[in-house]
Amino acid sequence: MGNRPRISVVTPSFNQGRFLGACIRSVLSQNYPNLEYIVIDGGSTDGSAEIIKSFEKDLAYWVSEPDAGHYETLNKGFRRATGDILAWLNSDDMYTPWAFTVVADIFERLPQVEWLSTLYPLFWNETGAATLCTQLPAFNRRAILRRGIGVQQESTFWRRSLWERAGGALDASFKLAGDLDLWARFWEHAELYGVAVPLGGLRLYGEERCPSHSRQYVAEAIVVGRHRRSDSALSRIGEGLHPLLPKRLRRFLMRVGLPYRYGGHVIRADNGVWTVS
Amino acid sequence: MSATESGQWPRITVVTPSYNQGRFLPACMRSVLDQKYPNLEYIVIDGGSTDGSVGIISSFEKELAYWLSEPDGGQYDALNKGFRRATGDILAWLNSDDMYAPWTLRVVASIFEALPAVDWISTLYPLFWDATDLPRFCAELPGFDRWDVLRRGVGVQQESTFWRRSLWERTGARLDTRFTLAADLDLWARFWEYARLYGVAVPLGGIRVHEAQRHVLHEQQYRAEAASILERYEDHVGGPATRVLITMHAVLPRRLRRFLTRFGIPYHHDRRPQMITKWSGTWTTSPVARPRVWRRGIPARSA
Repeated sequence: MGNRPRISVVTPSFNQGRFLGACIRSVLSQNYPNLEYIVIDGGSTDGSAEIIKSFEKDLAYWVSEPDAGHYETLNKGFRRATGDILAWLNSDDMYTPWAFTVVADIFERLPQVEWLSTLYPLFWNETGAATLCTQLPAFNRRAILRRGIGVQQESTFWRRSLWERAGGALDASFKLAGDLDLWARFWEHAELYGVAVPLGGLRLYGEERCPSHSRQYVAEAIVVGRHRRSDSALSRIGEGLHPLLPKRLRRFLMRVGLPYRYGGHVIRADNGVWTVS
Repeated sequence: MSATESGQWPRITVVTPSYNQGRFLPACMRSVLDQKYPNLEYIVIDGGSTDGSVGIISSFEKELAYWLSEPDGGQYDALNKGFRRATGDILAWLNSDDMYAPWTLRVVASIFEALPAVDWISTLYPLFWDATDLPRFCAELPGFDRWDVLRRGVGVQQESTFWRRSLWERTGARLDTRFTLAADLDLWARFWEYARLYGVAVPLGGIRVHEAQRHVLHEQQYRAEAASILERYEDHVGGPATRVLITMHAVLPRRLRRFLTRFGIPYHHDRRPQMITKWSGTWTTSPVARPRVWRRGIPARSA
């Protein structure tokens, strides 16, 4: 394990000083040997810049200056990223301590995997303890684009090659659903694999900008869905029947790839070796 | 303001029985101590290891409430020795090759603080570690049914199970050393005589999957012990009709099973398997059901 692949993580920050330290520590305390960590602050006025500065020597790059919003901030960071594996972590969220090693192991071991996300999304509370875990059965492209949710951004990692093929930037015309738009573009090039290990988590707290049910998000998700849905009529019928089928049959259909084109790819380790099932 | 918010955390006692697992022991002990839980009593009982375990334990000495190394009558004897010295309000043990998740002790403490009706808990999301201290997979349990767990002998992850001292004392305050492998199952059977097991929707601990696991090496023995436990407690878990339904359980579609479970059929003890979640602000118990989040979108939070 001498030469670990380089992982670039970008954290966009804006007036989240309360949680920023925990976010940065969740990245740095993993002691991953080939990490490139970039923090882009949008000109916070709550002391965030001082917090970032205190971690300066462990950061590949950081800057604090006014910018045009969340996704523009991210694009600024990703333009400087040189890693083989890319991801971003919002300034109020956290990774699990093992995330980078697990992700690097999987990308090294399974060359066919170009992007992955967790099947066990975690949710943190104000104090940084994990207070909820859920299980996702697998990732279904159409269902996710239709509903606008189902991939936890905090637990999603991708290869640089895929990022470049898919445009190499987030669409800054979105305010909230830029991640969903990115997944839709990724899906045009590669399948999403689910990992049976919690990787990251979203922090739920009072005033959090949890976007998934706001009107703005729903409106943007509809835009993404319209543009990117491209499955066959048969898949759509299958998808429509989906809620009516017994779970075992659904699982079976996913496993054999019917009617879902992008369904049952689950990564787990059997006897210590990462495998796709 | 609850005690955890005001800074008075309940005392948690963790006992680690150790015997020649020096390879994994430091990771185990760090997973407990690195949580910096403010009211921890950590006890390590070594059975006279000859592989350097003693040196490892003594290097952590100043953070331990108590430790000793002397030949003993096996894992459960070591645990009894440890629990006799335990003074905590919440008890658990962690075997020397296993690990907790980094948030475990605080989450457990806040649950027991918030929910006085809960006497013992275990996770619905058991983790499995590999030899390099990484989680290799996570699983989802549907909830805990007493009869089902006793019959199959599996289904409660010991590493993720915590209980109140009051329950421990009501049920004999010791592990049964007549068992060599399944004393944890026996303890759960005794706990179930007094209290319902609540599932927590957060990973708490994990078992390390490696070639030298005792219950894997001696599967026959484990099965024999589990069968003897089932025999002893079988009559306590429902009448013949219940058992017929439970036997049919395996062939029913999952939705029907969930439906029956919710209406108290066919389970005698856990009429409505309970789970603990903290979706908005406070820990709450509710019948086990898949959170609606991923089915219909994240529900609007109350303002």
